[in-house]
Amino acid sequence: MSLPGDIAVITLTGTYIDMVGNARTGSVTFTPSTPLLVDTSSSTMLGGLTVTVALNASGAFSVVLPCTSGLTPTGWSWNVVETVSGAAPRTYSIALPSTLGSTVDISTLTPLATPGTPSLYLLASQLGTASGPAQLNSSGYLPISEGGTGATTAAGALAALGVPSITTASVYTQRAFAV
Amino acid sequence: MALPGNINTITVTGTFLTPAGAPASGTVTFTPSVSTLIDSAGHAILAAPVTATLNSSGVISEVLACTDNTTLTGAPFTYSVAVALNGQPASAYPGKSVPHTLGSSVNLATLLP
Repeated sequence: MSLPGDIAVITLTGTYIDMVGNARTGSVTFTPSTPLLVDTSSSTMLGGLTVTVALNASGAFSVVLPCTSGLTPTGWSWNVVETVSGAAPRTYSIALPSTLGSTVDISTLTPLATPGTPSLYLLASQLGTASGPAQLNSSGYLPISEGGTGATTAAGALAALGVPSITTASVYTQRAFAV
Repeated sequence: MALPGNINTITVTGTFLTPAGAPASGTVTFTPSVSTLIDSAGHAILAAPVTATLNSSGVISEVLACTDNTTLTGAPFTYSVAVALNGQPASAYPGKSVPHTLGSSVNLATLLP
C-alpha cells in the first residue's frame, strides 16, 4: 500500500562522511511534530510515526517523505535525529514544503529555529493595583499598606499581620499596594 | 447486543497509514463524556468506552450512538477519541460530536485532529 496520490511527497537524500572521506554508519529518523496528520482530499489519516533510514555503505540515505505542506494541521514539521558513528546524536527540525521540488538534500536545508523560553511580562500599569502584582522595594521588602491591614500605624500593621514585635522591621506606607 | 432501536446511530470510519504509506496498526477508542444514558423506555445504557481495532488495511468501522439523541437523557454528549498507532502512546482528541445530521456514516478524517 502506498500514500494516496494527492499527498505531495519529496525524496530526501543525505550523505555522511568523516573528515578523511570515509563513509559513516548509522541511521537517521524522521518523526512528524504532530501525532496525527490528515489528508482531507482522500480522507486519510497519517500517524505521526517515526520513519527510520539506515546509512548505506557510502554513508548515504534516500527516503520519500510527505511534504509538510498540504496536510492538516498546518505548520507541522519533521523532527530529525541523526545517529551517526563518531558523533553525538544531533536533533533538529525541518520543513519540507512541496516548493522544494521532487528531491532535496538534507545538507541544503536550514533547521527550524527552536522555540525559546517564553518571557512573562507584567504591565507596569498594573503594579500595585487591587488584586494586581506587588513590587518589592529596592531593599527586597514588600511594601505593606497600613490601611490594608486595618491599622493606622506601622506598629499596628505589624500586629495585625501577626509579626512579632521587632524594632528593625520596615513597613512602608504605600497605599497603592493592597495587602 | 445492539442498541435499542429508538437510538440514532452513526457508522464512524477511518483509514490510518504510516508516513511511508503502509497500513498502520492499533486502536481507536471512543469514550463518551457521560457515564450513563437513559433511553425513552427507561433503559440505562452504560456509556463505556468503545474500542475499534484497525484491520490489516489500517481501516476501522464502528457503529456509535449519535451524540444528539433526543430520546436519550444525558445527551447531547461528546466523545473523546484516542488514537493509538503502532504501539505508540495514544493521542486523545476530546469533544468530538457525531450528530445524526452527519448522515449514516462519517469519516474520522473530517473530525480529527
